[in-house]
Amino acid sequence: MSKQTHIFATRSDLQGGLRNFEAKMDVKYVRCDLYHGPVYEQYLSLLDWADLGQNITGDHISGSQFLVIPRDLKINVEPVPQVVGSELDSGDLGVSPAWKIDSAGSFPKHAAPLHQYLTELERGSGPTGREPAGDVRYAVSQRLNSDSLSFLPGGIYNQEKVLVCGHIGTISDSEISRTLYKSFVSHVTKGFEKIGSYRVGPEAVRLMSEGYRMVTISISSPAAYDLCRSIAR
Amino acid sequence: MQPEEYLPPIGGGRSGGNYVDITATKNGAILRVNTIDTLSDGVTPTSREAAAAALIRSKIGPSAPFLLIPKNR
Repeated sequence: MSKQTHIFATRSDLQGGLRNFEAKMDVKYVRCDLYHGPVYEQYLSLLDWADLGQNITGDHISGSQFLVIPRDLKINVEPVPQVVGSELDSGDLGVSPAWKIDSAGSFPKHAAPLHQYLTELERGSGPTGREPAGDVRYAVSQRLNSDSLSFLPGGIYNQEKVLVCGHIGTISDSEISRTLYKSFVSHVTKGFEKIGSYRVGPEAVRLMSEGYRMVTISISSPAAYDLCRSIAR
Repeated sequence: MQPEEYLPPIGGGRSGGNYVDITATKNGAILRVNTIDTLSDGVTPTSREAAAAALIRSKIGPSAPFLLIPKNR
């Protein structure tokens, strides 16, 4: 059973809580990514990461994300062989019917095989959309590192008056992960205000009252889905 | 890999949110996939699933890729 806490925080909102957490727990922060080699980005304190409190994607799901894991544990890196698109045809999932929901939220009359949509998407993602077949990339994620939690800090988007939400979460049932999660949430969100289903740091609260967009999904989502004190309560 | 993506209701409130089954990112692009219940023909989404899909579409904006596939029967 996964657990998740949604936050809005600036660098200043996160500093005190992270400092207290790091004083109590010996952890390291490893950036989740698909690397070109088995060498990954790691920090012993997230306060050393210059981009803390900034979001460069404008989206709540694709910003920088870290594994928080006890310092003495080994990080397991997962080799991910890159394949050509046609290999999608051979699996059961690839021939599964799928519907591509159009921009108005309507269904097409007929389903098409999933691989057809996936191939179409890869073509549309430009020349960098596909890695050469045969290459191997290396994934760092919670999948092979169950004694961890994932932290996506969110932050101010592109120095605009936009704050993108972040997430603290775990998909692991390990006791170490649950303990880390509980401690991390407790320290990092101490002093945060609960607004709707979000915990909002003091500076983020101030920015919200100054009219910053509080983006819960994406800057391209309608502003109606931004966090709003009068609606969320 | 992280917990299911949560899409809040209007205003970021507590009830009326949606969860997306699979959210995949690559080179900044985001693909969302939900598995859905279908009618007995196996290819017609139930009205509940259709309504949820329309709501998710309204939340993620008109251009973000969003696919539905039927649950295994």
